Amino acid sequence: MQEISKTGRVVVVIAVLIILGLLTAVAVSYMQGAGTGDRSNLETWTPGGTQHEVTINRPDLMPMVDSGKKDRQGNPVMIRCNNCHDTKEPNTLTESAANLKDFHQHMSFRHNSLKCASCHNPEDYESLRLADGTTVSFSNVMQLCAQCHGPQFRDYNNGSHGGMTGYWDLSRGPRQRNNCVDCHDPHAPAYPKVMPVFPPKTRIGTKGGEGAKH
Amino acid sequence: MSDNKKESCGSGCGCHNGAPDESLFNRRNVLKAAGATLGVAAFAKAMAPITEWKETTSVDEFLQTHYRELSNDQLDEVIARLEEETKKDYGADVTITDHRPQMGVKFGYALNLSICIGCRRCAEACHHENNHDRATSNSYIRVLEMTKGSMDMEKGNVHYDHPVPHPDKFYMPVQCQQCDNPPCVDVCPVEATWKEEDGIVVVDYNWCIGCRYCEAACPYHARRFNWKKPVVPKNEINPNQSYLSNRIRPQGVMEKCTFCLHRTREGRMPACLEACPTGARVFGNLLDPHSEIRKVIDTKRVFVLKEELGTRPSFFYFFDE
Ligand code: SF4
Ligand code: SF4
Repeated sequence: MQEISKTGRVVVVIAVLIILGLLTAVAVSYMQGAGTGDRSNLETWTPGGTQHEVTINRPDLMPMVDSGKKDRQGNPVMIRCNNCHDTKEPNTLTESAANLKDFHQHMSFRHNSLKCASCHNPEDYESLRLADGTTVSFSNVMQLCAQCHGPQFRDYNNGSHGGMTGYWDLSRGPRQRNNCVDCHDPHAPAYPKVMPVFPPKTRIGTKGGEGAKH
Repeated sequence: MSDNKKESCGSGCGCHNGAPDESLFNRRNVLKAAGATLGVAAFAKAMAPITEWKETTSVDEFLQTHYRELSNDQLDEVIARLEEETKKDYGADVTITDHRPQMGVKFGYALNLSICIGCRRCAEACHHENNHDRATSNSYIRVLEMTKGSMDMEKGNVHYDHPVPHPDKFYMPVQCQQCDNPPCVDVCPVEATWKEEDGIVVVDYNWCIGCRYCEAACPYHARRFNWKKPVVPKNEINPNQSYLSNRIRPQGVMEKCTFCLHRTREGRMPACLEACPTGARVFGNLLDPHSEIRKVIDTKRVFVLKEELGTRPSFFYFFDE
């Protein structure tokens, strides 16, 4: 009789302790109240206010052509366009380097059947010319490309063509955008082939080249 | 696709998917109760063989509560502890922030398949931005090489190794689609993963028990498991970290793309977008009618992957016309 009630007492004590423990836990969780799960005080995004700038890269180098000669350090000697073109009578029908006597010979043009003067301004070779005769600077080259590449220009303006960095939320920071010629060589505008980087590691037990397996 | 039907844990437990604070007898309370009864250390020791308890797990970490139940003070303590641990284990000084979502923001991502050249720079950027294990070259992005005319992502090849783009192929990077109806969240038996107010599906790495149900449930193969403790050289660690995103994950837990919430909740672009040399990626706020992402959705013929599964992704694909 005595023995049984001793065991019984131990069981009761343990049970009471466990119940106390659980009650403490409940109390603690009530006392803590709302944790980070309470999102009633989240900030609300507001589009208005001052917007940071979207800067478009601009090619600002003086346009030059490779003379084919090297200086003493072995660097190519570059010549300003107007050094020659100031006085030379332009042939507006030229479309390949093979037809030229000086310089330019190393260049190859793979931009449809455009003539040099389709884009370069024959009155001032250090600027460009639109189809309607308007002169544009090299740094505004996008205006020139847009004449033929309307859909790309539209997509660029809608933010879905051309790389960028910075902020999606212009109320919090600026954005920097590529210019057409950052990616496309105007003389051979097809985007060049590249070797892919960062090959995925094959996990032991899977075969490479088999496809995407988790 | 066939092996990726939406799964439940199969135990008939009726896996719950309510808010994390709904259940009273969750892991925290049970542990606390037992701890109060037996003494924390003794209890933890006693449980050691049957829990994820490891030599490296501190008592604090073991008893840490669910992220969404932490008070702000508790969270500060947890973050201080995590920063200290990173210093101890990796030698790096890092800042872990708790970036909260904003109301009025729902993130969307779109990818122009006509422009993507398959260079994998996005996958590489993810690897560095998110402090992935160097040995496994882990990344949340897989770029699939697809045969023109096919849209079945299960037929894509990730192991291509030749100059890109190949003229007969197109390239489809796949990462977490931040589904509005995420099967990965439904199957989690401990509610360690959930969808936040801005649409990002996150994981509390300290609550995850590593059962990998979510990995099996995700139809996009978007989840990654930390088989080993991640190895990242000290000087390569990205010190700008967030509790729910790129802090260094412990071994044995699940992780996934968070749309770089440590950047995007600060208004910045995700790392994969900034790394993309072609501008194939468009990111922004779906709730802002003037955003770039909305312009894409309004003017392009966008589609989502495996639409028939009803996962409702926030990630869209399109081709130029
Ligand atoms: S894509 Fe992302 S949100 Fe959708 S099921 Fe997979 S992990 Fe979950
Ligand atoms: S970085 Fe851009 S172009 Fe390269 S694979 Fe990724 S999305 Fe495609």
